[in-house]
Amino acid sequence: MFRKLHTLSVVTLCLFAITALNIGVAVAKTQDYIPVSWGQLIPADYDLEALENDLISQYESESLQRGGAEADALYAQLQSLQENAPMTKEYNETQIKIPGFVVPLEFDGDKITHFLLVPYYGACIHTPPPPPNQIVYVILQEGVQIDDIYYPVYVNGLMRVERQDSELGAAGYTLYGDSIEPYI
Amino acid sequence: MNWIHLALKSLWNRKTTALLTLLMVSVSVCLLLSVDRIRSDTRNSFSNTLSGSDLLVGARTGSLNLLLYSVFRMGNATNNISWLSYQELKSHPDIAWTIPISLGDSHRGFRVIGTNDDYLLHYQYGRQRAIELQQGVWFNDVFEVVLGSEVARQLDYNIGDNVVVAHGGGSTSFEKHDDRPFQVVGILAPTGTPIDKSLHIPLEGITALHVDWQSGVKRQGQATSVVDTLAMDLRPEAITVFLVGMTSRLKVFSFQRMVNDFRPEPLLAVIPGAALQELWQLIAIAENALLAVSIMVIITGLIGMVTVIIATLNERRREIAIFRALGARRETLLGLLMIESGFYGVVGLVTGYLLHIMMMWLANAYVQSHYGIALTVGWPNESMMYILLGFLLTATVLGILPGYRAYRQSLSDGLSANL
Amino acid sequence: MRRGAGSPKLFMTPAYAFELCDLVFSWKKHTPVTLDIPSLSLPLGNSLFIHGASGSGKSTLLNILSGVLVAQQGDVMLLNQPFSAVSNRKRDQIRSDHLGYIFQQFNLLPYLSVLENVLLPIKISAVRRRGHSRHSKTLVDEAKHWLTQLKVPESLFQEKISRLSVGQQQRVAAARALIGSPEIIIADEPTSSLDQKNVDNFMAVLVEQCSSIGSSLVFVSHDLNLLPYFDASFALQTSPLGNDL
Repeated sequence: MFRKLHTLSVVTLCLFAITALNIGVAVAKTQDYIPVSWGQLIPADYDLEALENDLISQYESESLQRGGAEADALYAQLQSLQENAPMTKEYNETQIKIPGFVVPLEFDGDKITHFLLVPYYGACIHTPPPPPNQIVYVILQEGVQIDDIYYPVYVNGLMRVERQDSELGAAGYTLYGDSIEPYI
Repeated sequence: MNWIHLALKSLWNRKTTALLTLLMVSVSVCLLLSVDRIRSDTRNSFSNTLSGSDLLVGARTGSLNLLLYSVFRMGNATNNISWLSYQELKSHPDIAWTIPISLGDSHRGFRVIGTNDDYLLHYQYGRQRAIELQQGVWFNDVFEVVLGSEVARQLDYNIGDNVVVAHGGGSTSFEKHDDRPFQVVGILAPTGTPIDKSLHIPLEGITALHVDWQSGVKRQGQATSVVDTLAMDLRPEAITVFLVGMTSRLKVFSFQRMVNDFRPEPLLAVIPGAALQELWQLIAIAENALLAVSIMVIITGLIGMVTVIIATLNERRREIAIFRALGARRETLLGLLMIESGFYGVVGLVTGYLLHIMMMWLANAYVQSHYGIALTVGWPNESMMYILLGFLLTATVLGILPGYRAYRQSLSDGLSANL
Repeated sequence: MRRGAGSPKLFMTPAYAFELCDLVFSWKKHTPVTLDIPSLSLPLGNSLFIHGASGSGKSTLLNILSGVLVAQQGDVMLLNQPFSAVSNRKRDQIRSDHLGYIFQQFNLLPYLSVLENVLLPIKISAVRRRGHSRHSKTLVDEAKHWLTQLKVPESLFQEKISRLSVGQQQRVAAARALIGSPEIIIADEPTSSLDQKNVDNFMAVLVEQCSSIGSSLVFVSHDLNLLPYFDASFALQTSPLGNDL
């Protein structure tokens, strides 16, 4: 009986040691990532609101309220302004840690390998959608299973500002993710 | 002194009870493993069906409905997309490629897909795998068809055979397009996705099929001949859905918004990955319920095992008295019974696993052909391994209960003659 | 046993196999007393016949002597060492090393052969394995020796127990009790299920073998005809209220 207790306690101690080691390694790793917030991904000198107001002021408010061709034109222009939001190179080639919501793109079995990280839940539904400098395209080495995308996560990895498609695409934020943590 | 050997010999002496108990434990393990396997295989089958597509566009309906009928060929479309709208949308500069798809017809229970060369060029499944032709070529003419591997196998078709397409999606139809058969020119390699159970014809083929059809009814009287049909303008008027690949994935949201706000027609653009995740979250409740049930079954199996061991203690009183006379301590008795329950745990696990493999192997043929889900056989995944380890430890430790009972029983029995 | 510092070990042969002193036992408090023995002892190498009517506490006494039970009052010394005062574990160990036991019936494990049954005590106890009357090199040969001494035919050695008659089973049980030469043999009515002819054969060979290795034999029975086989006897009185076990 006592021999069995002894073996059990040795096994338990070993398990504790292994867990502690893993936590230690994980903690050590996270300290290498610079926390980044979504606001920091917008270049400091870019003032979207000012530009939008500038556009809107070019139209008369009554003709806008009536709807029709002028309203459509303004809408299209605002859209285009959004879509051409610039990127900041500040975090290029940097290990960062950023929180956000996951919009899955590619699965491997039931693990997500490629996804878009956005600042708010339901980016697919809300109008207008987040501008390109508020979206991060994340590629994971090893897919991760997420049970509920209603909850945000932290993504740790190497951030690059690069073109998606060599010929045509504009540059955007791409994160080569190492790991995901729940956001508490 | 090899107590393990002794314990096992004692168990063999009671083999009928032992085998039945073993069966009980094995079946419960088999159930747990099978439920988990079916769950992960179903997910894999679904997520492996489509890869590399950024958006899926169809007439406005629910996002899950769109995903299910267009990619998984489950359910039906509510409406179509006009050809003009499709042309307008696909010319958007942010789009790299599109694949138009037309649904609604069938052949002997298998769905017929109207599409074009973009399907062969851009469609991907699994981990960015392109579809391949195993035999023959892709269609090049109006009345040519390319078969999925299951269609060719189950209906025993070869290159050159003629296929008659039926109207609507049921297993058969009372309205057949039998005056215009299609010739098989190619057979696709197996993919393990609903592609295998589909027939692919050009969009013009779909139009050609419906030439004599007005408002869903075949016009009676003289049918338009094949030659005359080919002479007509067969450009499609509508398609059901189209898949989209963007030049940059970061542009997905803005294009999606544009489609959803499209004035000429009510449309819906869906990110397939996100819709799939929605599907998972929906069925998670059912999956978890099933998992909970199988864990309850395991617990029941373990309780049953302990009950049986305790019940047999009565017939083993003489045996235990002999051990006590020979000097067996309390720990020895505990150990003996833990060996027995541990035996049930280990062997129950192994036989349960073998039973599970057999079951999956037998069920696979049926499940694959009816539901398109491939049941795989292999080692359990990591979290299941932990559960099984916990099961083993619990089974062994549970032996303490009858062990202690045996000891107390031996104290009151003593070494007396009257047993 | 005493050991002086630096002096060689002295092995003193214990004078008594066991000694009981002021033994009082009752199954539960406030119930009539089952056993009340002021004094009982057995010199080493002798044999003792214990008899009494049924209900007189014979089984209880044997349980106490073999260490499975502990009396509420009194002391038991076994081979000159405290027995009732030590831990359960120690008593189990002493029983394993120095005591051979024969039941009335069903002595043997049905799933082991005759030979395997006899081998059990020397496989379990290292002390008995080294037993001072080893007759052979291997354990198996030792078992065979004892079976032969107990007049069990060789053809039966590998047989399952169910093939043996009751008389043969009791002899095998005796062989198992004697193997490894334990100092004390306890026999709990071993002849009660034998017919008369077998009883005499059995008794003769049992007593002979016990004395050949110098073991003390404690024998319980209600058959007073067996009295002549023994050096001493002890009568258990039924308690005044006739406690029925």
